Amino acid sequence: MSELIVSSSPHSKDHRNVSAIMGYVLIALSPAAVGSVLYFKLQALLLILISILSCVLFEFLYNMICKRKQTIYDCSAIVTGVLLAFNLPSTAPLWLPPIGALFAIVVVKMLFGGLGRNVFNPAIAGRILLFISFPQFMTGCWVAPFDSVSAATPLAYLKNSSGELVTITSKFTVGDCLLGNVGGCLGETSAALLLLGGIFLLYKKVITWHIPVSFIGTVAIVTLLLPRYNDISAIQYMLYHIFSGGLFLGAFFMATDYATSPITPVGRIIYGIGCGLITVFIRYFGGYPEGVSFAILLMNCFANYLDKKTIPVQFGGERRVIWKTKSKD
Amino acid sequence: MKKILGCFKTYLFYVKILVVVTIASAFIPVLNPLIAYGEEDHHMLFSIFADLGGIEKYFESVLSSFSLMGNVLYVMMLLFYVGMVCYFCGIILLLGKGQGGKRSIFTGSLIFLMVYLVLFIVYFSINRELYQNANELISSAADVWFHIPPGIYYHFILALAVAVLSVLGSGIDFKAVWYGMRLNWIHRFKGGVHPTPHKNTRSKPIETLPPQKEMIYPLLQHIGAICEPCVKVGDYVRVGQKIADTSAAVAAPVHSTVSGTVTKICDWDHPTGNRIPAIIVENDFEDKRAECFQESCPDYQSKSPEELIYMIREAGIVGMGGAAFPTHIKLASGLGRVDTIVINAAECEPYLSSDHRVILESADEILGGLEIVRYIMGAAHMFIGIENNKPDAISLLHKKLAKSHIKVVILKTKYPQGGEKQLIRAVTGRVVPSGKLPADVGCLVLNVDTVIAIYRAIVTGSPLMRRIVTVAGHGVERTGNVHVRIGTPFSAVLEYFGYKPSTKKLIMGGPMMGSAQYSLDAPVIKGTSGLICMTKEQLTMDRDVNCIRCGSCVSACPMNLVPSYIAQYVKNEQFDQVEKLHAGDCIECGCCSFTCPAKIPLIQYMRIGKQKVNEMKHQTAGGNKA
Ligand code: SF4
Ligand code: SF4
Repeated sequence: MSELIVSSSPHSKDHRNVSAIMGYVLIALSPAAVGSVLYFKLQALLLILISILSCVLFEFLYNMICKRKQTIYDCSAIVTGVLLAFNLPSTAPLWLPPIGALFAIVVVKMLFGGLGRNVFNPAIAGRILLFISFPQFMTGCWVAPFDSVSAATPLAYLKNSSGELVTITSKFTVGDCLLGNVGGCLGETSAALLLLGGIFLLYKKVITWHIPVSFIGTVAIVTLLLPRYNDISAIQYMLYHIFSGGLFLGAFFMATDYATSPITPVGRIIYGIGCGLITVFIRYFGGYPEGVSFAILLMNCFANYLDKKTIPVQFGGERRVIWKTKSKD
Repeated sequence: MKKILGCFKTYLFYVKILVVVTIASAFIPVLNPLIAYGEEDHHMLFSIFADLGGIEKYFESVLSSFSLMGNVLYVMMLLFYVGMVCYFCGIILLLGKGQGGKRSIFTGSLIFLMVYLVLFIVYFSINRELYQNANELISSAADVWFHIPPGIYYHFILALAVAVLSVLGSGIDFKAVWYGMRLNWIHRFKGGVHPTPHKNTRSKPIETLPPQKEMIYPLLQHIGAICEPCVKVGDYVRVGQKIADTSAAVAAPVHSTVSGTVTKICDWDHPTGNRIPAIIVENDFEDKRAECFQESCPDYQSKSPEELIYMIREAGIVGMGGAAFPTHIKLASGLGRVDTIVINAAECEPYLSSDHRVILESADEILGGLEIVRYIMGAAHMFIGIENNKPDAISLLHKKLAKSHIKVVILKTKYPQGGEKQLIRAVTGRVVPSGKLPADVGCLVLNVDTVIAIYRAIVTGSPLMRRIVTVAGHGVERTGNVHVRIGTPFSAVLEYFGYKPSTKKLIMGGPMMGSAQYSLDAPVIKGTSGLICMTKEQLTMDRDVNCIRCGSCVSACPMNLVPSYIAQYVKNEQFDQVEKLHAGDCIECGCCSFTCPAKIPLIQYMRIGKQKVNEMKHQTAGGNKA
């Protein structure tokens, strides 16, 4: 008779492990990836591939040089690579992603102790590094999909054209933003494809609704109540804000990054609201037309603190007693 | 290879959405990029209403007379409309869930959608001109409410009528609708996980295993103190004779389940993993009944509750759900305090189906037992909580209890639905405060099988001697439920089902809370609800990695704890923090370990934390006294 294994319960576990979860995230990102390749052709494909390869390579090298356990199998580097590429404009030179990847993987992720220990979202940190160091490649040379003429992003229109006669509606419709027929980064052009991936993640319970709903909801409410552009109705103004820029990408894929967001439900809602407020603040008053990445990076600092402050009341704990024994008299 | 295939399978999600969108775009142009992609189509999002009879024009005129108020009204109208549709679809969805069938969900909603679409198209083509001049009606935002074009009303009425018709037409039980709704909005607890059920043994009738030559009766078959043997080596014992008892308060006596001679009293392998004294009886296969069987008393109402509880104690009855807490203590401590009795028929553990079979095969005994318990406790309300994955048992109970005061409450299939506190929350809505017992909120929870044991003890006078065991897993040739006399060694039960040596792990109880066994010599005891033989393929043995802070343990924990932080503090030995996070409330259900993608054995950290916290509490309590 063979030896019987004795171990602690539970004896069956969910088959879902870290690499499976990262696999789901990749599947969720794939519609937007396909979309960007359709819109921006070969350049997009190359950027995405180079970004993925360099992320995986840097993680591999880091683990090898530091003689640590190899961690590339958990696929998180691939996710970081895709997200980093999604944050680049289609005109970015091909040597740009490796620089971002080096910073994102080595400095932001691995030096902090690897997946789960990092304080900041690697992809966003990488993007911001590039944004600050190479503004000439990262902004100002957007290309409209399909016809490759240069075009500004919808948010840049919303920010700048208040004095001009050209209204945004003559450039893009809300539908354009939804489908991705606008200038912008690789991954953030098509809100519909990102939404599809986001719904997939929600459906597979990889992420919870708290962060995306509170993030997008905050942006929607603030822009609806305080529109800064009078030629179009408040609803349209709101829709432009929601569907353009990296809001969907940020809300579904980057703000929900496990390691850098709170784990308690209430903490997640506060985190989402914070992200939303900072985003709108930067879009309204900041120097850049886009604020999602800065907002997420700022809120990353608070993730742990929010957790500590929003520990849920345990089942049957005080403040939750909703029923009292009727005294028998 | 399998993994790659699995990867493609998940893409089916998109394919499904694509199919739905393609079909729907035939009716709703906005979903079809080819049609809707127009030059002037700025309200593309809203043109969804173009199909709904000129409402789009109506909304456009609202927009053109733009004001904040108009926008708010507009959004409210939108929500109202969407809400109505969701409401009807929601009812249809609930119908299916309440009845435990998946097919009725699809048929219900298909009927609804099809009929609605057909009627709508017919209606629209007849009354086309009704919508033509909708925008002439509206000149200001206030008009929104007063001049709603007829189309909207017709939609509501149509939707309502179709919903009612399809509900009536599908012959659905309205009780089930009601239960379905309560199931989703009232009857639930937070958290929990959904392990694969593997309940294929539930359709197999209970078989009977003949008694063995050598029977083993461990002196500890319950939670509490070890019993003292009251027979000697060489004594002749009969079926149902008490062979061990103790004067300790929390304990239940042990009975012989065969007739024969006591050959040994020695330490023996015990399912809890220790070696514990046991009485070994050699069976003479004559099944001579003990004359000291307690007297039966079908007219139990002539006795006082205390006497009945004493009879239950003498019959050695313990909770049959797995924990094996002596039932008489539970009953006695609840006397005079309990107004609600909840019968646990949830059976939320994967694989196990013994309670399910017992309900199907001995429903009458359950009802008899319920009356006895009700008499003892003098309780006003009785509920049977049952998961909705047992439709046959539910309909049987409904039938039997048609005119009775006992209510069957259908619960969502979710682990740990059968946990005491969770069950009380789901069935009665009461919350057992942290650190308190169910009796403190007037509740008593009993397993169905315990109720049967009580019935037999009181009405036929027979002590607890049998156990229904579910045998399942890939390590046995066939699976099923079997009626086993307590004391039969595991090896005999497993031989009967064709034990394969490829078994890597033998679990007594369910895979979520059961304990892994090291020896096949251990016997079936009162709490053995199942024997699961797992082979290598069934075991997940990933090494654990860093916590990735995914939060699934937080959302899975039914006690609303934060396992990842508690585990972290336990690792760092910061036990004051562990206490602050209420680790003492953990019910050791294992949901957190089950769901953790980093495969961290969270429950082990929880156990350590819990133990330390309890020790600390004892210390401070002792310190106060001194
Ligand atoms: S074992 Fe404890 S901490 Fe883990 S899910 Fe169950 S109650 Fe929560
Ligand atoms: S489930 Fe595991 S990985 Fe996720 S937060 Fe909890 S402990 Fe960390």
